Amino acid sequence: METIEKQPVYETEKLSKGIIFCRKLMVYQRQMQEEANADWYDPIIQAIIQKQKEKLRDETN
Amino acid sequence: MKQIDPYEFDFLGGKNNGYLFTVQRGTTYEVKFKPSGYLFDSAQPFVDSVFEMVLLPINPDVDKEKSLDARILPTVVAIIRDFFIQKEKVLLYVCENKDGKGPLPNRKFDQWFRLYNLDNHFKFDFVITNGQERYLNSVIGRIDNPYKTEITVACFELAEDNSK
Repeated sequence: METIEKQPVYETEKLSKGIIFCRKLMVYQRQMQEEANADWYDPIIQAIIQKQKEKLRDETN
Repeated sequence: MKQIDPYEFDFLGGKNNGYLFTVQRGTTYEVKFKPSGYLFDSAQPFVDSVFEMVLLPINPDVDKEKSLDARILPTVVAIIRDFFIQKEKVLLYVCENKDGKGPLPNRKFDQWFRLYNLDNHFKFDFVITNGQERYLNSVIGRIDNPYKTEITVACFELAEDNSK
């Protein structure tokens, strides 16, 4: 049995290629959101964010 | 119409081709382009050229400002423009429409497309359903994409297979 997203795909369940395709894309979206949340704690990313915030401050001043 | 300036953004690269930008009220977003062509038949000529696109907040304390900041949309368009240099590239945007109330969830993708040089690009939508499960898919590519026909046929085959 393969598990896609939270919905198990039973071998006996007849799923179209389209549904499997979309479910996989939704799983990838969730994985990318988790990766993006983890990026927040990456010091390199934080350095970039700080530079972007400085530029925004300069913009408003 | 008054031109709205995009925010500055940085290219992070990585396996999902990440871009990063921070908005005035403090939220930082990543735009990612995940290679997704392999979800089609691996023999397809466009298998390395299809990317699932997402826009994601990365702050742990994100608020709901996304729809309130008018500069986010032109920023996303600028990022798409930056990513779309190669004519073979195709963007795929999927959203789940849980309540079945219509195509509102992918309105965002329509806005990106309308703002992004409509004349030189093609876009089409297709819907995949399974009972209450409903997915709205949008595809955007350059009009000179050499695989335009193959991509269109492959997507509509998915939709057709779904309707059986």
